[in-house]
Amino acid sequence: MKRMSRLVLSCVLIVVLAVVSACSSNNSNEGATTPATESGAAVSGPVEITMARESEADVKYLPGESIDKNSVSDAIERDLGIKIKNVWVAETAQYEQKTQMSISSNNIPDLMAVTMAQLQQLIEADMIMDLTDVYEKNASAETKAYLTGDGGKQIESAKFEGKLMAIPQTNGPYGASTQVWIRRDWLKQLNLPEPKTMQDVLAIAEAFAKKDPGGTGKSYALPLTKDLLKDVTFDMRGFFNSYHAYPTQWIKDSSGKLVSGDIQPEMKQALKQLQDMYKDGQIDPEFAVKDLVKENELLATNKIGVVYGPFWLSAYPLLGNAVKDGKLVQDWWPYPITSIDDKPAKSQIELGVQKYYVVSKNSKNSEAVIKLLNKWVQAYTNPTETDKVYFLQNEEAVSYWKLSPIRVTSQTETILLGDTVPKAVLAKDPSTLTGVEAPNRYGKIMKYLDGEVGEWAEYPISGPDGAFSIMYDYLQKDLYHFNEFYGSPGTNMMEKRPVLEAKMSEVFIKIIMNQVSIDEFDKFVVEWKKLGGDAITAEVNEWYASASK
Amino acid sequence: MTIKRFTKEWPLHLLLIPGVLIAFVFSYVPMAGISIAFERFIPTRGIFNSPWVGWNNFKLMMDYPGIDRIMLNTIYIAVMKIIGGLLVPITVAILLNEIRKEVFKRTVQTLVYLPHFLSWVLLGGILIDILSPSSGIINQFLGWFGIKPIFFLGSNSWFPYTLVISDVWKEFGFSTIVYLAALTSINPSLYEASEMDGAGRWKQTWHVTLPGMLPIIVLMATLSVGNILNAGFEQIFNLYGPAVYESGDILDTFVYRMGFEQVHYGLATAVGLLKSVVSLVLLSMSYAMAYRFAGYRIF
Repeated sequence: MKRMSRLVLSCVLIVVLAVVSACSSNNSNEGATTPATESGAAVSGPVEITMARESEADVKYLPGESIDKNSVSDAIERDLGIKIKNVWVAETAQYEQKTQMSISSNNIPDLMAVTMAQLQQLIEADMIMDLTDVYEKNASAETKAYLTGDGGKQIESAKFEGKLMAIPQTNGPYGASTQVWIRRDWLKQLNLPEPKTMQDVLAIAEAFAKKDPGGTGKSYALPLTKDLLKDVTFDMRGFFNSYHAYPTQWIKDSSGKLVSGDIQPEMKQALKQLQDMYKDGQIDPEFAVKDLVKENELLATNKIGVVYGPFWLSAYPLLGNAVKDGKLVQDWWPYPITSIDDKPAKSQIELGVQKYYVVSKNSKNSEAVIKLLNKWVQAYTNPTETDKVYFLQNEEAVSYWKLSPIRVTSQTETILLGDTVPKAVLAKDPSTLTGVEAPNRYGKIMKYLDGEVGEWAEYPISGPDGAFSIMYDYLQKDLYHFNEFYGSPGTNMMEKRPVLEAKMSEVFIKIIMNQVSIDEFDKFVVEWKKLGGDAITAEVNEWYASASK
Repeated sequence: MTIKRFTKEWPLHLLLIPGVLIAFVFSYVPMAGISIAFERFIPTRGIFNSPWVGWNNFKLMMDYPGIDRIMLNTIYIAVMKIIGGLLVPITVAILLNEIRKEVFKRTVQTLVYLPHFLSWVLLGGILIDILSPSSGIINQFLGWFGIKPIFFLGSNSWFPYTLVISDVWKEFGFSTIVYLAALTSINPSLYEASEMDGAGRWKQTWHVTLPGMLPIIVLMATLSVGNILNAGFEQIFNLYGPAVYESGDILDTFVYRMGFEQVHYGLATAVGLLKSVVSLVLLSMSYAMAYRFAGYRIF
């Protein structure tokens, strides 16, 4: 018997060894395929730029084309005399890991896109080029304007000690702002005016809860979920913003230091308001066990008429409640968030940059990178007939815009739709609308106005006085509140934040449910600081000092 | 001698290989991931390049305010579930065994077995509705007796009991079948003999049925001891929220929040590892006891 088990054991061992060796040989294969970088450009003929590329799954190529050789790279060679050479290509899922490998092995191509954390590593390792002068000299006026449409915050985030170390992959930061959505049919039914101040909103919410316009026997004021400050659909942050409180953000205090918005006295005021509403029976007493889907049942069954949320709320989840059997049964409409006092309310948003384009210190053709950037901006905003190839999108080829080596998106394009589309709708004239998105949205609204009720969702988004025009208005009046911290989390933040966030949701929900007094907030603030909040604040300010230099 | 036996039995060993391979690939290879518990894990750098922090994650876990509460909740909820999960099905099995009408017996068996097939995602939604203090059927029923509505899922004093009762309700049908199977193996002549000796129904149950079931009971109890730190992630995750962290947060939900919501992989792995170590000790102890008291062994 003993010898028997030894036999079994050796069998197992053989299997184990076989698998292990299979694994390891596999590994070495993978190691061997990592290509060497070829920096240094051709002296004559077109300028060469080496790149690390992300290949995205939704690109469909014309026959015979690939990410290494395609109409876009041909056009770049034709228009700019720049030859793009991909040293490696990785799918989206592996791209970040592969760039990290390139960084760790000190072997980066001329140009690649990296995350904020990687950007910081590259700067510390002194591997990338200071682009300040190259950008200043070569970037066109259009490009400079295009990259600073948000007032310069995104490009500022790529500056370290005053030097421009990367080109931010700009994007619109405004989409996360919130509006307050109210059922207009109930306003009419109860003869209430549209809200101008936070007091109006609270009065409307109370009237909806007390007078029960849905006729269901029991109605509530606001849909709260157990994910109070994490829910991006029923986004209560807009409610807090009305009290000048900015949960989950870092804000500048009077001394110019950054402090956490979670622990400011304004938060207490907003929580007190929610607690009072709860005591008054205006808030679903069971919200603490409900998630978005469960809470939406209350909206669907006509028990709630006021919701805070982003511009797309009408598309999801309101559309499912509002349109029944080809009829509009709930008339939701977005209004700007209002203020509790005479100071205007600001809607909180984040920076909006996902990636940064960096240029290797060893690159000989950094001005070519800026030329690529200029070309993208020109072809995107003011295309000539030959530029069509950069945005090929037909039955044979899809998403060719993703083949451009540098892609920056307008920070303001979507938000400008809030100006152009409503005007076109009112004038019933789409001739002023350019690009792809604007005519598309216009078309949907026209279909709705012609009686296609299924297309309702677009109307409160980009129609006259809709969510987009509210967002456009926020921009005109400078009513956006940016998060001042956009670095990567430091050690203290990584270690302590989980504790603080769990504590925060627990305390806030107990306060709202009136299980503890509002003064528990002050105890929470003390505890927050003690449990690591102070350490995180110090760390964030250290980052802030170095980033704003 | 043994060589001779091997030549005779080698096909059986061949059959063993897929099982060993699967266990190796899916249970042993991933163990390399344990090293994350000693690292400040950064996904982009992978397991082998993340900075090593030694016991730091374990220190963090010990310093975590409320970790003692989480440990206590885990053990408390798990122990109650084990006790409930043993007593209820044994009782039901014995009672069902007394029923002579086969049709009735089988119908009951099937009905109590049904909830076992529902997922907690689904049941979570259903429970929120039927336990609701304002409109739930349970509270309406209690209202007939003048009992004020109870917020079963939102109050810290009720939440653990709600967990235990709903878990027992969902799973007892499954174990009942195991015990019913054990009952069929009891020799009917024992009952006849005891009847001759003048034992009534109650005495028969006490002196024949229960001793006959004992090995299976011990086996089931033993197996559940290994689960003592698994208080039921799926169930609690679908039912809890910040309002009941105090009484409902267990190690697994904590690990989930740390790992997936806060991307603090190091701490999450450290907690998971500690849990596995404790479970291993408990499991070894319970096997030793099972061998001693019920003669049960796996090898």
